Amino acid sequence: MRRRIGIPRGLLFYKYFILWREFLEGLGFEVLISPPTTKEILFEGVRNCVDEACFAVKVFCGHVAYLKDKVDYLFIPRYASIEKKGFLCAKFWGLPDIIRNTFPDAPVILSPNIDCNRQSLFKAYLFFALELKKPFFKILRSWQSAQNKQKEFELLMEEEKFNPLEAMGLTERNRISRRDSPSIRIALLSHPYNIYDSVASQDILKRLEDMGAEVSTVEMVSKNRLKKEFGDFRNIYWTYDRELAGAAQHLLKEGIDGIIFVVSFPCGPDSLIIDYLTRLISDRLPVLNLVIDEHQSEVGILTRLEAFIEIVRRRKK
Amino acid sequence: MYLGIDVGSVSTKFALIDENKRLIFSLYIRTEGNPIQAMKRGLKMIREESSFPIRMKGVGTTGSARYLAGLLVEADIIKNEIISHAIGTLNFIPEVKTIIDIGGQDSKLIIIRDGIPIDFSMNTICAAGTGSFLDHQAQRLGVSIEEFGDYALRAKTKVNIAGRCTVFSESDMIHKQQLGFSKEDIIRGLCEAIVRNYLANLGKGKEILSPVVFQGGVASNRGVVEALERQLRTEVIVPEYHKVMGAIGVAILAMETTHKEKEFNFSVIDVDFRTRGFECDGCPNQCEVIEVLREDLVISRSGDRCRRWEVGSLEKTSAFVEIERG
Repeated sequence: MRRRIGIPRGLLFYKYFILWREFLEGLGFEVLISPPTTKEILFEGVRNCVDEACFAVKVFCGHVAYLKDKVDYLFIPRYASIEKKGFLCAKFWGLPDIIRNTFPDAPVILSPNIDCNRQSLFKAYLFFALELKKPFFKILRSWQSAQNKQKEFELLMEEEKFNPLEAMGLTERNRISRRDSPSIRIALLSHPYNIYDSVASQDILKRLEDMGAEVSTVEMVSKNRLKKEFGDFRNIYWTYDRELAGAAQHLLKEGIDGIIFVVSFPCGPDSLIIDYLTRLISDRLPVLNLVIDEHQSEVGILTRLEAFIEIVRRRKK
Repeated sequence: MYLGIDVGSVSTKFALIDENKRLIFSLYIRTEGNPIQAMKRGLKMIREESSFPIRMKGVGTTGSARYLAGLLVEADIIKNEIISHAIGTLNFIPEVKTIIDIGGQDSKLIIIRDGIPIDFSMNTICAAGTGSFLDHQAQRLGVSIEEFGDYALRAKTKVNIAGRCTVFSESDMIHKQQLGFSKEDIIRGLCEAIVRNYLANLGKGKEILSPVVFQGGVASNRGVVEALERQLRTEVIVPEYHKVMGAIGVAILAMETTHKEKEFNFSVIDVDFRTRGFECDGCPNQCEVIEVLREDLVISRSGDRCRRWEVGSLEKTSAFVEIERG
């Protein structure tokens, strides 16, 4: 019988789900993902998680609560770094432990150790699968196909400008409506788990598109382009925040009318980097900082977005 | 004539302007937690006050209850308070570069260059240092809010009050009272703290250039005006109509959008409007759907993420039929 493994729809799901699914299915698991965040999932997350964690981790906990009784294993990799001399936020290092301690009754958590400062991505997944007693060639085949699928997925975002959920095939692709003569171009810069979770983000992305803005995100800028733009930012410690800075730089050159940063309260890395970027950019372009958390009111977000879009339009005229 | 209505958390403002953007009539009343009643009360006062028949060419609404207000008076335009305030102020002081607005529960900073709003910030979730906080403290100290500012002007010594958080600042004030400082000194300390908090919170990274205009209910407080001038080291202009600037702004915006003349329907004063809510059980999202009823007719529903409850579109769905029956 195939064992069922659950992937919570939160945090790095928005970046690596395709890689994970392909690899795990290749190894013979049946993969179950939690549904898009609902209010119930959100409440469960906030109820179970420690208060000090960031909002995105609370949402993640909600998804774990949803999955834990429905699967044999949970797949929660430990992501310490994805490149040499670059690190991820400590919450990704500790995530499997956070979950294990938050949910003592959770099923066995399977978590490869991803730390590219020590070993390559391939080795990390290889050792992980060997420990599960999977045959070497099966692992190799699964890894190759997972990597190919992941590359296809990333190209769909970079070249066709699909958002992650569309590129994963989890939501309908509606790129055409997006290109309907946009009057303004907005860069929505944040971690994907903040902006593609429509409940947690209060639908910021959709609201912007409804207001007639063409929205660009980090995922839509190619990795090579990002690297070229690092320049002064190359020493930023956190990989994803460095990418945000690079994307801001690149999109500024490409010509956008305004930048919106979305921060999950109380994100440590973002509180430094977003503030730094805001200071760099705000005398060139209108910049809006939005903070999302479990106490947000819809009115607060709506008023700020409306006013921001209007200011961008009036300035352009 | 054009009417602008600004329904905020603490106060409701009305402004009537003519074709030349001149203010004919304005009204400032307390919302008292009931925006529908406040609007009706205000409209009644306008009808009684004006001896002439009012030919209205356009109506606009703004403020945190702008959508509800817009429904009630069938507004021609509903606009957020940032833009409304900017447009209102630009009408009186075209050379303005910075607008500081402190209202009942929120504060705003609007940056204007060459007559165009180019940037803004608003206070975050916390309402520390806004009008309702001052209201509360005035009450606690036994000073009417109208005199509050004058007390600050009579202060003799400097007292530091923590202004980051409403709760902490209140306990700090009590502490300073117990040390024996006078009411005057403490009130001035509070005014300084509010301005310090405002500039640190909203002014971060923003270039505050003069002319600086200060408006909103708190601009009536001379103590806060003085603290602003001291900390900004520049003159701060408080326009004559500072309390109703948002209403004036949205009246002007209504003028820019509509041109058809019609008699304003004051009958809404006597119509019964109600709001009720229910939790939709169509999916796990459990959206809180809010309905506005005119007499017994539902005129708007909001809060549903999927829009299935939208008025007009849902008569066909079975869920609606069940609700109507049940």
